[in-house]
Amino acid sequence: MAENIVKIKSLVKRYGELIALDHLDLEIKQGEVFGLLGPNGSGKTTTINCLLSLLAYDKGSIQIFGKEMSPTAYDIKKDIGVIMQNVAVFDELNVFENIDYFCGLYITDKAERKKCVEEAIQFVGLEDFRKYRPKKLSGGLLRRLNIACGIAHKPKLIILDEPTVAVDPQSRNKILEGIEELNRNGATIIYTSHYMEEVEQICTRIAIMDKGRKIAEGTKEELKAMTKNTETIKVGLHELPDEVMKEISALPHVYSTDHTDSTLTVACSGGRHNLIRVLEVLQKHELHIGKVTTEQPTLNDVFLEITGKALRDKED
Amino acid sequence: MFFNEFKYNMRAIIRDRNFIFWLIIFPMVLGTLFKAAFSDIYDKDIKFSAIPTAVVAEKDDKIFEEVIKAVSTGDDKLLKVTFADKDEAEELLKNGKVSGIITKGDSLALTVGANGINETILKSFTDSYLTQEKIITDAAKNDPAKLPELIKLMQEDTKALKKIRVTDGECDPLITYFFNLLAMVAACSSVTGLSVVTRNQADQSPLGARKGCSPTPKLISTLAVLCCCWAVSMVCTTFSVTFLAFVLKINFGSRLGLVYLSTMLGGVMGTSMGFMIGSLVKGSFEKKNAVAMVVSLGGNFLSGLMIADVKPDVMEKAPIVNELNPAAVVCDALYYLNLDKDYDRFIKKLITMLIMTVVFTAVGFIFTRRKKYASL
Repeated sequence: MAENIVKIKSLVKRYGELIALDHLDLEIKQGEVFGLLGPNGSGKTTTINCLLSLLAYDKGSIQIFGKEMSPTAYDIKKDIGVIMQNVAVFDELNVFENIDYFCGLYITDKAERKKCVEEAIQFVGLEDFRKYRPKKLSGGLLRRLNIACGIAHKPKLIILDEPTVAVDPQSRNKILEGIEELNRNGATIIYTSHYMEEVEQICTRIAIMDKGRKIAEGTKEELKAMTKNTETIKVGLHELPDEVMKEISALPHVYSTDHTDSTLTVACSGGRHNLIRVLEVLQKHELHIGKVTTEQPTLNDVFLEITGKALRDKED
Repeated sequence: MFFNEFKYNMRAIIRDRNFIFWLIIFPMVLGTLFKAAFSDIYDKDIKFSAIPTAVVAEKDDKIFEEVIKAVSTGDDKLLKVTFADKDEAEELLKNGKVSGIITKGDSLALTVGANGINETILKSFTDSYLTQEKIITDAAKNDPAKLPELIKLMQEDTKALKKIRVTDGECDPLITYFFNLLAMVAACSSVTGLSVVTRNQADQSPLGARKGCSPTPKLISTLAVLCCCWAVSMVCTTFSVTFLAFVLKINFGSRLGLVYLSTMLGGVMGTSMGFMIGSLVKGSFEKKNAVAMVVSLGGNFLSGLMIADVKPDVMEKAPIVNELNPAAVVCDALYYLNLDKDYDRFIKKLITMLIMTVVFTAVGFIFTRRKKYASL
């Protein structure tokens, strides 16, 4: 069994009356890509800042690599790579200089550092931009620079706090592929995001947070298994007589039906041939069928079911 | 780790436009404006224009011709002579082309068209000639080699006032504006000192937070950035002194090396002051910068940068303010360096600067030593 790289026990952080972290427990094992998923303000970044000993907390304990984490735990810090939510680079230094600077905080040997910097530049695909200053880089390239600065020293544990905010799809894919590659190369990853698709794509284990509490934890399959919903069928229909609706609602495994905006939505829990059964009913009544889709439950459904609200904020 | 921090912070600071403006361009512009504003005063004070004079030689007189030649030639000539006949000379005087007419006949006569400095000097010259004519004539006959020295002495007598130095130093009152300018450069080094805080504190910038996650001890990181800022401020003050002394040709006296030393130390003190302000003032960089600017330029105002009369008033009514005002300390050090024969008061000011630097730095370190933050 893989050893715990990170162990957070009963962590409490208060900002006055507001409880930012409410007895949070987390255990992250070596080799995992661990996702912290939650809406804005759920406590993800606070957790990371406490984990890195930047932020004082009121109660609890944090262990990394089996040792107590503290601001002066330099032997722990040297094996951690951090990619902050806000891009943290010198505006006055170019791409190469920035990566070399951050790498120099960890590696003093010049030759070794140069090799690491070159590898980091290649890894994030900034070879053509090494002389560019951050202000001349696009949002996506800037995020890649931020990542290069965090991973150049080849850390064992990499913490990425919302690294894809305001990034174009191409750069986002590049970043996600890079994270998976870092994990394949042996790094343990902690990845925070409010983009459930990203977390589903790359994380091997996920903790869902809300209001400073961990509300669910497990693999994506385990999390989805927590929901009643296993399949959502959507059929384009202009008209739907009441008796047909009643017949569909009475089908096995169907627990919810709705017809709005010319779309029939059927939520099923379990069962293997739900779509066929729904289509058979519609065919029997000779109704004109439009577009037909089926959707598997998402982490948003999990979040919705547990908290009663959608995971993603409207502005996202 | 120290060198890495030092190297890249140095690059970042010298590429920072804010820094370039306050520590290099602003002093250059202000120095040039001062120089332009004071140039008329300097010209009037230093340059003496030869007095346009018409000479009418009614009789040949070798000795008189020799005297006129001596006073109308060379770099420091007294008269700009036009030889003319009586009518031409009167016409020149009437048209204001000359200040007076010296007529040499049987005796020496002076005709002037108005009252003024030039006319007074001409009167003094002719009076000297008349009273010393016998001596000059004898000297020309007996020892012609002494004639130039004698004429030189006669010229000296025409000056109504004589400047007497009471010290070995330069006591030009206008130079204090340039001392104040250098004090301003030193005080404005506080801008660089602010970056020591903003670049190392996790609650001040993402960069500070990111550095806080690294295994580089905060003391080393802070010290490296501070040393870097000290070095930059020393370079900037050196640049300002060089620009003023060698481009604008401001005369800082014979102790230029010590002028460099005091302004460099002033720059170090200003940087440390910025470090302290950055650590004490909570809030954004803009807020810290505003406070640093108010303190720096306020100090410069009290030391007489904008209005020279402010400083004597402060010295009289609130001497402690003058003693503790970093800009005034730098300004006074430079002033005493140039004014005093000995170094007592200058050294006292240097020691004050050193003490202030130590205090500012210590306060800065104390208030930035926190390891964890309540909020980010």
